[in-house]
Amino acid sequence: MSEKKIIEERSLILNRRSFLGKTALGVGGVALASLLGANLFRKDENGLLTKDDSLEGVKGILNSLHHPAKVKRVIYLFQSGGPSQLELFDYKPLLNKRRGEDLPESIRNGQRLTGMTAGQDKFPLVGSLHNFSQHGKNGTYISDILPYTAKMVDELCIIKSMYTEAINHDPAVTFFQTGSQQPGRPSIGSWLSYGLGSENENLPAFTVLLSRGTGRPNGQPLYTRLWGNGFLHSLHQGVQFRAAKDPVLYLNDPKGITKEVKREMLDNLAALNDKHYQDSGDPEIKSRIAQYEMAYRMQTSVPNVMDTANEPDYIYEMYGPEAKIPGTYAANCLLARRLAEQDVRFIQLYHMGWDQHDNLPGAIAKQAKDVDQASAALVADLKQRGLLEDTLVIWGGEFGRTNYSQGLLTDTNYGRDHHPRSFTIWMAGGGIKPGIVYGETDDFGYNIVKDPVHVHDFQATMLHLLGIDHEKLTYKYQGRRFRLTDVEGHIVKDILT
Amino acid sequence: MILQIISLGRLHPLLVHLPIGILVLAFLMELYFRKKESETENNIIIFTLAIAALSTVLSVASGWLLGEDGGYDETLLFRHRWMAIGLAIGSVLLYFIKKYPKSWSKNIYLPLFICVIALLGLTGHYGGSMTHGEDYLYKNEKAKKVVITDVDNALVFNDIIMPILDDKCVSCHNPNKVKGGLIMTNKEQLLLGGESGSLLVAEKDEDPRLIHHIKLPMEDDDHMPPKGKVQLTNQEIQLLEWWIGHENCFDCVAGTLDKTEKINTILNSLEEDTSTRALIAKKVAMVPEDWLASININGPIVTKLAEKNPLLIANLSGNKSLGKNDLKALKKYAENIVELNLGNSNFNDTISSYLTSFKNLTKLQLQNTRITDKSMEVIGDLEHLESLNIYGTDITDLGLVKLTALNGLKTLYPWNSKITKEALDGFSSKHTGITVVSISEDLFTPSSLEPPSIIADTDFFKDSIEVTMDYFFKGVDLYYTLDGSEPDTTSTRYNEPIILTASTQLKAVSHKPGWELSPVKTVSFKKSNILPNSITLNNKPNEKYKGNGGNTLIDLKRGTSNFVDGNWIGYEGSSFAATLKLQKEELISTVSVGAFSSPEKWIFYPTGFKVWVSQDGNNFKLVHTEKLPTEKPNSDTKFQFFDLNIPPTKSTYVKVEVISQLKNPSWHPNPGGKSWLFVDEIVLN
Repeated sequence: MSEKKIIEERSLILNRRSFLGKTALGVGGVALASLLGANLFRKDENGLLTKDDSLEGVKGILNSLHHPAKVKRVIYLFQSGGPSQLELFDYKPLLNKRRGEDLPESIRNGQRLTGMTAGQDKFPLVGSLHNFSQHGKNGTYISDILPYTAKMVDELCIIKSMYTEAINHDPAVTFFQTGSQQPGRPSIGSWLSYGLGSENENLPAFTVLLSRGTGRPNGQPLYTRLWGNGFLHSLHQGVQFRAAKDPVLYLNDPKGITKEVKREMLDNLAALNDKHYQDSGDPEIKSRIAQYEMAYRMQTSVPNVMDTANEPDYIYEMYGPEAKIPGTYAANCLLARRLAEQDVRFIQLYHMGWDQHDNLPGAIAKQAKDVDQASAALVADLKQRGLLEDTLVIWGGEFGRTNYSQGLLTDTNYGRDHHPRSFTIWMAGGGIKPGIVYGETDDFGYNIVKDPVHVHDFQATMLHLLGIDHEKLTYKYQGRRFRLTDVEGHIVKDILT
Repeated sequence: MILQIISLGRLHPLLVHLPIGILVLAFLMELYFRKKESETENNIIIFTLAIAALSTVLSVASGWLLGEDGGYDETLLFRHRWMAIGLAIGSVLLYFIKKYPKSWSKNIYLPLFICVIALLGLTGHYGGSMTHGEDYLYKNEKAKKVVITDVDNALVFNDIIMPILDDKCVSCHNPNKVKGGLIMTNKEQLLLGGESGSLLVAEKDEDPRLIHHIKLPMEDDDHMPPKGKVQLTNQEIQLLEWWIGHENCFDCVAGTLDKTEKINTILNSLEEDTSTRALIAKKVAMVPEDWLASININGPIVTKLAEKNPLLIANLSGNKSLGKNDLKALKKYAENIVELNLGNSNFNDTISSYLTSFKNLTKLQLQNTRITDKSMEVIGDLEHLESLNIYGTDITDLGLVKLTALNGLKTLYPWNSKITKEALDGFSSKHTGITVVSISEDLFTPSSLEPPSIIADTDFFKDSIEVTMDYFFKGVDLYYTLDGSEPDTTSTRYNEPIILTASTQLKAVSHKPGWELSPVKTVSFKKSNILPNSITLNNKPNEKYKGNGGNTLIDLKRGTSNFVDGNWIGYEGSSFAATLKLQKEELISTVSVGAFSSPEKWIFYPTGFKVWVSQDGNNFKLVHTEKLPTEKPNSDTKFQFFDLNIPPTKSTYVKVEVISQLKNPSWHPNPGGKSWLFVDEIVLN
């Protein structure tokens, strides 16, 4: 960047700063006044001081929704690694019948392969070793390794015709979460935080919970940029809640620091930061002030949410005994419900370990056991509390798996490679037709033959349910307006009530 | 020639407006100039009357010809025609009286003018009735419109097709104006058809006449509606075709007819939002933004349903210091609030009366509040309520009764309230439109017990170890054995921590009356009473997994299932040997080697061991060789001790070689790759 350009950019920021400083919205000096003015402090339920200026970031950029929303929040149960649709939801008896035969080229039709199977000279078809049976009012086929999900099938909308453009984990997960395969765009939760703000001023609008699967314990890793804010203000990034003594790192005060001392420190720090902001005009400083304040409020709110000690036994029995072990998927599902009760807008779970390139039959059964009961329990628990009415629950991974075996196909063992052309996810909750199956794949379970749903369609539909027109929630950056669905996305109207 | 003359009649609609305007103008000028008596003004009026008379005559002539076309209501035509002739005579008379004033005529001039104007009005009215229909003036557009709320239940003909015909066809095909001999105002007339034949029944492969005429090119004289009239939209044409395609069924319901995706979309677009919220939205005013801003100053409480929407959602959930002032603050726009969430707050009976002002609520959330049946009176009066959440409250059967008046109620969340199951069953059988949300109790009843958790500091110990057992839930008994036999309910019942003083295999099960026994959980605890002084490795472990060198193997810290925890040492593609030096000569009978396996990570159990002993550290004697089969295909992560029983020997030095399989087996996804060996702890007994 040339020196001249730097000066130009700086003056632009300073202009904006002086503008903001004069408005009643009160960033700048007005904000500082309220930061320090004791009469503007209010006490929360614990008698702690909270402050109004710190609510910056609580409010979204959209003054109001584009249309009435069907759901107020989303719980996204992301199954990282690419769960095999053929062992879980997409029942394809033909694959069992033609087991071992080569995948016909007319079906593969030039599909690009990963480096892991590109070298294979045969693509032997393989059907699921796990049986399927029919459940619910419509006799929907569900794998026997998902017994609890099967019981809840009348609440679910199963989409069998998802497809994506990416074929490897990183780009594929990034695509689902940000709408672009390349890193750098904001994640869904960040867009919502930016657009709608937080409904609970004491918790971030976007929280993240991670768990490792038993099917492939040391499988694909995840990276924090998946819940990153991209080019949006950093206060919109997802806040990860860990399964440890400190659920949120560095949130607790060091020993010997009282609430009062902390308050004073934050006030003085805010004053200094604000002075710096006056000088430099860097908007990130405002983000920083707001984040300190959020962290201060979270010192009370987070322990309250994370403390599941008062959950009765029958709740643990619903989610399964693993729900008592912090850091498991089941425990995270329980936390997700607690966060939903606190009006956290976007609750992102990641469960790793679905990447079964080999030893699939055994490993996927373990993975399924990890998530089956807790996922079903979450839907049921939300329902009995009346939360399902305005919550969207999504279960799904970044792509599916091939209908042929990766590596050697034996009587009891096989693997499956990544398959972007068709895979299955399910949704449940407000605005979604319950108990339906949408979309269809061919008898080989390879190509979609009816009602394809692209990742951008999925995202557009999610935003639609939240009351947002996906074409209108944009952010101008580097000379163009960006949005979650990039330049695509059609609302899947047929699955909406 | 005749045809040309008749088509001159088509000028009638143009000409007819001239006498109306000009006669009225003449009349007004006559009134205005009446006092002046000046020559100029008089001439102007005479001239105006001249063109008025001329245009009247022309209108009447063209009108007569148009009337010959036919297709009009005879009565109306008769009246219009002869009144018009009277009007023509009247206006010509007026002209002559004005132009050639006579003393006798002066007095009848003005009364005649008034008569002419009156006649003009009547003639015009009858003319209008003929073209626009008799009820044109008084018919109420809105009242006539069919409102479809659920398109599946709509009558195809009455609710969907007839409105289209009414809108686009009936103005020319009604009993007053029967163009082409066709009347389209009702079922019977439609079936009769027109002059050219049946309207709805197709001949051979052609379209039925109704569709045929609509689809003709615009230039075609037979195109309907005629060029210049409001045309049917594409959607309307498709709906007509769809209806005729189903044998123009007059009594069918839309939901029962099969339809394409396209028709479905069109039909859905006919639906009008008559939901309670849409109706409330029409009744209340928009809420000013500054009021919203002032309410939300300390955090979001009230939000608009959507932009340009007057309805509001209020969320006071979780507010433990909720008071009447919080509710009073909302009172100004309480009627705009359709959704109120007071869940988990300290909302209670003392302030529940404030709910009365929120009379347009469609959704009310009172879960986990302290309200009781007393508050249900107020709630029972919220006539628009559709969703009510009272889970976790103290509301009883008595409170439930108060809800019976709520006709619009659709969903009730009574979970964990004090309402009995019988009352709920009775309620939902009486009010079939209300979904009483509950989940089946046995849905998540566990089908089997989990084995107990066995908790100890380490898997092995020097003198003794304390082991505790636990189970997630109360009411479960734990039974265990220490002798390797399978435990059942006759085994020792767990009451207090177990102290182990020898190497033991602990097996335990969980039991609950009426349940099947849990699977067995097995944990081995190893006693290690001979502690080596030092250890040397014959080759160094891999740089990445070197732990604390050889000491890792004798530090009594067991490696965990996480092989990178620093308590394991790893070798890539090679075996290794360790030499342990004891503090003094000891009798040794077992050497136990802990190893790790995770084929997915290229880590395998050893395929063999060799054990040597020595008194001096120089001369070693091979005392044991053990071969193990290579692992069967699996991807499990696991670790265990391999116990090597040697002939009891007194010695100071023990050397153990741990043999690696070196390469991944053929079943591995990467056969032939260098496999790993992970070892932790070598224990002597």
